[in-house]
Amino acid sequence: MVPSRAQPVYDDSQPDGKVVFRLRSSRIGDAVVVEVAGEVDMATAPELARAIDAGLDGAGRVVVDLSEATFLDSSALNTLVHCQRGLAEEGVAFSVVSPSGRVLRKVFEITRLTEPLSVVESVEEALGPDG
Amino acid sequence: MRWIDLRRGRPPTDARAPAPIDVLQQGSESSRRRLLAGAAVAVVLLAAIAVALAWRQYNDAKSQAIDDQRARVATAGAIVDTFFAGEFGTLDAIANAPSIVGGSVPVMTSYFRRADPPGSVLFTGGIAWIDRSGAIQASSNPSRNPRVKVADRQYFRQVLATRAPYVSAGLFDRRTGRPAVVVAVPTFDAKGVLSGVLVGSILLSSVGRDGRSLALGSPDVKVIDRRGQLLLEGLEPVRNPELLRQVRKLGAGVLPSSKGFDGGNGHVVAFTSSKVPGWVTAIDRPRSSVFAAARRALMLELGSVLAGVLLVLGVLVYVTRRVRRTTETQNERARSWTGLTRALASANTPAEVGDALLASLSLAFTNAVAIVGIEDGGLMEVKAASRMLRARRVVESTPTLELAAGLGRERPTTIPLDRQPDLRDLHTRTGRGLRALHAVPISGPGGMPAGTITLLSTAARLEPSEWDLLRSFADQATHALERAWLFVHEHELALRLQRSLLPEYLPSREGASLAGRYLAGGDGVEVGGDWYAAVPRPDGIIHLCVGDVSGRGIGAATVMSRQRHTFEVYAHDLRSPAEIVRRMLRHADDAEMITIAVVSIDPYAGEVTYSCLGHPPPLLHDRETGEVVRLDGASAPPMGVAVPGDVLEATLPLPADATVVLYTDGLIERRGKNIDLAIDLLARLVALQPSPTPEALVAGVGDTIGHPDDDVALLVLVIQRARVSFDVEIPAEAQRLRRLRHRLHAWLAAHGVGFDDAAEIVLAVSEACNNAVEHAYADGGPGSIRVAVSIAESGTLRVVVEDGGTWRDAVPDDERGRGILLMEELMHSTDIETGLTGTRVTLERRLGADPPLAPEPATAGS
Repeated sequence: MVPSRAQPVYDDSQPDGKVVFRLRSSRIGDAVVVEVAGEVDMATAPELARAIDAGLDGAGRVVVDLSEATFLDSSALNTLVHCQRGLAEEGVAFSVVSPSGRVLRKVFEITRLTEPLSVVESVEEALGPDG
Repeated sequence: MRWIDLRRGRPPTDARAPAPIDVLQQGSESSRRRLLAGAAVAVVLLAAIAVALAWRQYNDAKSQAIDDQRARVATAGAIVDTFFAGEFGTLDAIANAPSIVGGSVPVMTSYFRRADPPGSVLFTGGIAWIDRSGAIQASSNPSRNPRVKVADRQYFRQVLATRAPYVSAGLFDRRTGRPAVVVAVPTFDAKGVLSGVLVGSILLSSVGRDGRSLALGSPDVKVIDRRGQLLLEGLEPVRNPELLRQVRKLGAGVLPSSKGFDGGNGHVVAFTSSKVPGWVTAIDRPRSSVFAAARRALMLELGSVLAGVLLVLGVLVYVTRRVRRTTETQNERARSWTGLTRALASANTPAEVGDALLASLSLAFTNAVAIVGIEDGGLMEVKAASRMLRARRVVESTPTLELAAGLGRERPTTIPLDRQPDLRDLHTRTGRGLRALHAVPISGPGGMPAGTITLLSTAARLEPSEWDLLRSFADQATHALERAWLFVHEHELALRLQRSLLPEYLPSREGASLAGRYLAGGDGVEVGGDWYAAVPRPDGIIHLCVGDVSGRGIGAATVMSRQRHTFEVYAHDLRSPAEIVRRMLRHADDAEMITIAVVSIDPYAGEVTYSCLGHPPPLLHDRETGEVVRLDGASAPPMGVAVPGDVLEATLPLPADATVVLYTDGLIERRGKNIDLAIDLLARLVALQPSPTPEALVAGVGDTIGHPDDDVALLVLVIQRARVSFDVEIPAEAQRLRRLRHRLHAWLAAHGVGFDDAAEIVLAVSEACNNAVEHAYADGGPGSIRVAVSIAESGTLRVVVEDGGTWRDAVPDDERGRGILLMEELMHSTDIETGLTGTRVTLERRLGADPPLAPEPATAGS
């Protein structure tokens, strides 16, 4: 499945090309996929929240793809929880992609958010049979 | 301890320009030379006259020798003539004897035997009577031979024809074949009729050489007959008929230089004609033999002249040498005095004044051991010097040196050594060589005694001129000491000023030791423009800086001081060396030429970042690989020329075990030396030493290319990353945390913590920091966070995160809870203390143990 539209929302790449933080939002069917690369912390989490809000535009599902993310802390988790709650009130489905086996995935497991945030292995799984 | 020995390596003063006194000496020297040359010329003239006289005498002797020859040949000729006259007389007497007149042959024969028996010296060839037919009728030795006809003989025919006596030319005896001369006279019978010819034969072998019958006095006498035969030499014909002709023509005389009769060159021929017609008597000798005596006399005379000249010259040289030796002593003293003036002019310390004095004294007084004592801080510094090495050893090996120097502190003194019990030893131990002590005081400021000049001399007393010289030495020393004390004072002042402008101490810490040195060049009286500085930032980064303001003196020092403080201010604020340098440019005047090197060490991230403006490249030594890298990848023109856009920055990984060396060009720059090679030399020295000190590097470079003649500032950092503990204080701002996490991760990696473990620790620390950031903002301003991480030997990692804020209650519990939960789950121990001054989170994790990550039911859902 090829994203129909992909545009960088926020790019904080370092001059040497190492990604510090980058957001890319794309629409697949009625779902908005927000790809997150780099580190999500207190400084960048607000950007993530803005990107999710901005890309919503009547979508029925939001997928936050953290496959390329290298760091995630509690402020990122709090942001995701806020978004999930807000979207749930509007009836928008929410899921997070974070492959297991990495330190990043453990963050969800430690904070028992794997289920509340519908953390899955891949974007395909997130979009699911009804996506 | 700081660098005290600032004055090493000053070049010795080269005193080659002639002083007036030298010129005077040269004048007297040249007049002495003229005098000597005049004397030599006079001697040579006298010698020439003597030689001329000798030559004249030689010529006189030569003509004398020729006259001798003339006289001798006259004598020889007379002898020959007399001889033959005698023969004729004898023969005439015989011819008139009755036996002969009688004409009876037997009577004649017996008469002959009586008159001329065999062996007679009269007619060695015998006598004989020849009848008119030419047959020999009677002979003094008839038995020896049958009758011989001699009618063909010239003498026979001549006598018959002329009835006159006749002497033959040299001929060979018809009976014996021996060379002979025949004397013939006519005989007459009683009636007076020519009856025959009486002949007497003279054997030539018996004439001449043996001198028996014809003593001619010299083996050189030649008798030449009318046929040109040499009668005394076996009738040899004359080989030089030309000469014979000439001689015959002249009759008598001397040819002083002619060919000889034998044709040889260079003969003296004296000759005279004989009364025997056609005969010549001559003395023919080589000139060399004729003039031998004259020449011998000449040689003798010339030899005497030469010996005389040599003797006179020898005496002259001897006298001149004596004179020169005494004037040399004078000159030496004059030179030593001017030398002292020059040496003292560059003597900057009392010790140098003392050394200069000693050097000049040992030159001026070669017959003494010189001792100089200089008061220095209440102590007397005593040294001795002498050209008399043995005496000097004796003096130095006895405890009398100080004693001797102590005498004569008040006024000029002479003490005979054998009268002073303490010093008598010197007299005896030098074989009674040293006889007296002469001393003059050196006065200091206000007439206070400042030292003494002492001579232990072989002379019992000093000449007045020598006393004057000693006193003038002492006067010079007084002035030089005043200057030296002033200099030392100024020097200390300059040093203190310089030090006050440099950092009091350098911020060394565990695992990172810093050493900086400033070494003043020149005479050290002026402050220089080199500086160094090191600024440890709260975030753990160490900024190092070395700079060089061109010029010297207070102006340069002021600029230097300003630049150093500018650097320190910006170094606290800014992480990037290039940015620091750009800001410093704002404070630099266009007229000031400043070079600078800034090197920034991040021991946690493991990075070296640097920026240089017109400065020699700092060196980075990896002590594990031994590689030394020149930090020359970020260079720009010096301050005063560079604009901010020129300033570059480069970053290298920091080796785990590294040395960083920053220096100013005074360390490596020498006139005429290649700077590049000097930097290589420095790099080798850095690589050679396990922990190089600035002193060792300066000394090492100095040993190879000479001591620095300009200021040197040097900063050396020796860092072992594994020994540097993590201690970072940053502003409590959210965007700072990312870099903090990276640095911590790198630090953990450098300490052998695995990637996943490190990531978990970093996450826990980051959560603790999140709290601090929130607290800081809660108080309305950016406070700061301090993160200190250490690993105990037991393997327990301990993190302390502190801030100055209070726990924030505005955050919803579940959100706060997630951060705390993460910390608790990722670490073995989490402790949060909140006090009045701030919050302190202490996290612990046992490295290598099972990770604490195990969801427990008890905490689920909290």
